[in-house]
Amino acid sequence: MKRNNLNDIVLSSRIRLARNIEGLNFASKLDLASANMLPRKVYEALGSSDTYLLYRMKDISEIDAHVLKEKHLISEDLIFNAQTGSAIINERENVSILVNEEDHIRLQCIERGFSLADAHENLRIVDNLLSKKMKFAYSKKLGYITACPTNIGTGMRSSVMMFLPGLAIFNNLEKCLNAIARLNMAIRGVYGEGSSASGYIFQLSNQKTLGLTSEQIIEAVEASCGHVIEAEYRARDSLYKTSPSELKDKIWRAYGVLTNAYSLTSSEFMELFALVKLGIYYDFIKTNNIERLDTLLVNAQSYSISSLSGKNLDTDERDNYRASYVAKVLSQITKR
Amino acid sequence: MQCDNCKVNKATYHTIKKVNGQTTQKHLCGLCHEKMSVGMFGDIASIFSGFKNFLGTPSKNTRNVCSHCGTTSDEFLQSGFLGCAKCYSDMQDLILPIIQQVQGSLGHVEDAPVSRSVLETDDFPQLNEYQRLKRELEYAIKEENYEEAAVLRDKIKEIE
Repeated sequence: MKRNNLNDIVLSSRIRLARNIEGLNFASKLDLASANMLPRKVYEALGSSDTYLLYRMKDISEIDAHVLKEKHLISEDLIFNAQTGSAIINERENVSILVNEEDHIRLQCIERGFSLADAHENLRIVDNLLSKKMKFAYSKKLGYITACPTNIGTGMRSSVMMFLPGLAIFNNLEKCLNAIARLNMAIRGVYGEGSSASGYIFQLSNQKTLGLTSEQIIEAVEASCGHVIEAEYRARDSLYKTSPSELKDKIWRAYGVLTNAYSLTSSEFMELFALVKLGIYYDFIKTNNIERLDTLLVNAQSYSISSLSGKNLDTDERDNYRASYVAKVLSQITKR
Repeated sequence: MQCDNCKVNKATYHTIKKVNGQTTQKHLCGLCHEKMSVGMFGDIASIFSGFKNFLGTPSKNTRNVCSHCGTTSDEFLQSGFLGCAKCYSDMQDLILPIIQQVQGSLGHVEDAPVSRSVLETDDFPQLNEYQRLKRELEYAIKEENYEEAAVLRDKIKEIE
C-alpha cells in the first residue's frame, strides 16, 4: 500500500472568492442592462494576463454548459441564470470566473491534489488584477460585501474534494463528518450544495468567511482534512485486514464489469470506479497513468460522454457509449 | 410546540416546504436545528427562516426596507439574499445579529489589497494608469510602505 502522496484521497483543491461591484445592485435586484454589460467588463479587466475565453450561457449549448459543470468550472446556479450568466475560463481550465451568479463575480481556482495554497496564490493574482480595474463593494468592518451574509468578509470558500470509500464502507463516515461539522466545516456531495455524494466523493469546505484571514481559513480546512485523511487511511487498513479475500473479490469484480460491460449507467460507473480506484491504492490493480484514470470521473459523466461521442445520444446510447469508453481507457492504462 | 426531533425542548425554528404540491412542516428547537443544519447537506436558506423567531418583532427604529434597492426584511429572511450593499447598513439591526450568529464574528480582520484601499478614499473609478499609480504611491508613502513606494515611483517615471 502506497502513501507517498495524498492523491489517492484528495482529488482536488479549490478556492472561491465572491466579489461584487460597488454601486450596482446584487443579482436579485440588478437591472438587465447592467447584468448584460458585466461579463464583457470583467473579461476586458483581465487584459492579456492569460488566455481567457468568455462563455455566455445563452450562447452555448445545453451539453456544453453541463460539460463545464461536470468539470467543476461552473455551477448549476450559473446555468440556471441562462439570460445573463457567463463564465470566463482560462486555457489551462484551472481558473474560472463566474459572472452574474449569486454574486456579480465569483473567482475560482481548482488544482489537482491537496494544494489549497497554490490555488489561492493563483487566484490572488487574478483578484488583484480585477480590483485595479473595478471597484469592489467593500467595508472596513465587514470586508467584501456579498449578496448572502454567509460569504461576507473574505468572500472565500476553500474546499477540498476527497475520495472516502474506506470510511463509507466501514460505516464510520457519519461519525467522522459529525466531528468535522463541529469544527465549523461543511460537507457536501461531489457537485456542491444540495448534490448527493456519489462514488464516495465528498467536498469539505469552511463555513465561516468573516473574522479570519484567508490564510487562517486555508489552514483550518487543511487541518480538518488532515483528520479525515488519517481516519480514511486507518479505515482502509482495517478494511484490508478484516477480510482481504472479500475485498479483493469485490474490487476485481468491479474491474471485470468496467472492462467488459456493454452498458453502464452513470451511478453504476461511480460505484464501480470507486472500487477500482481503491484497488489501485491497494496495488491489486496497476496503472501507468493515474491522472488519466482520474479524468474518467469527469469524462464518464452524462453530458461529457455525450460531448465526447460528438452526437446527441439518448439515455441507452449514452450508457452503451460510456461502457465502451470506460473499458477502452481502462484497458490502455491499467492491468491486473 | 415541542421540537420534532428531541421531543423535549420548545420548537423555535419552523420551516414549511412545498415540493410538488406536497407541504411538509418541520419544527425544531435551537439545538436540534443547529445539529441538523450543519449536517450532511445542510439547507442554508433554513438558517435564515429561523431568525424571524430568534429576533422577535423588530424594534420601531429598525428599517424594514432598503432605501436604495427596496429589498424588504421579509424578502431577505425568505431567500437569504440581500439586494445591494446598502441593505447591510439600512437593515443593520436585523442583519448584524444574523452575521454574528452565522459567522461568529462581526469584524473583518484582513487588510484590503493596496489598490482597493486607494480607490476607497475617492470616487473616481475611471482613473488612468498614471493617476492610479500616483494615488497608490501617495498611499504607500502614507502607510510608510517604502519598498512598494520605490517600485511605484519607478513605474511613474517610466510613464513620465
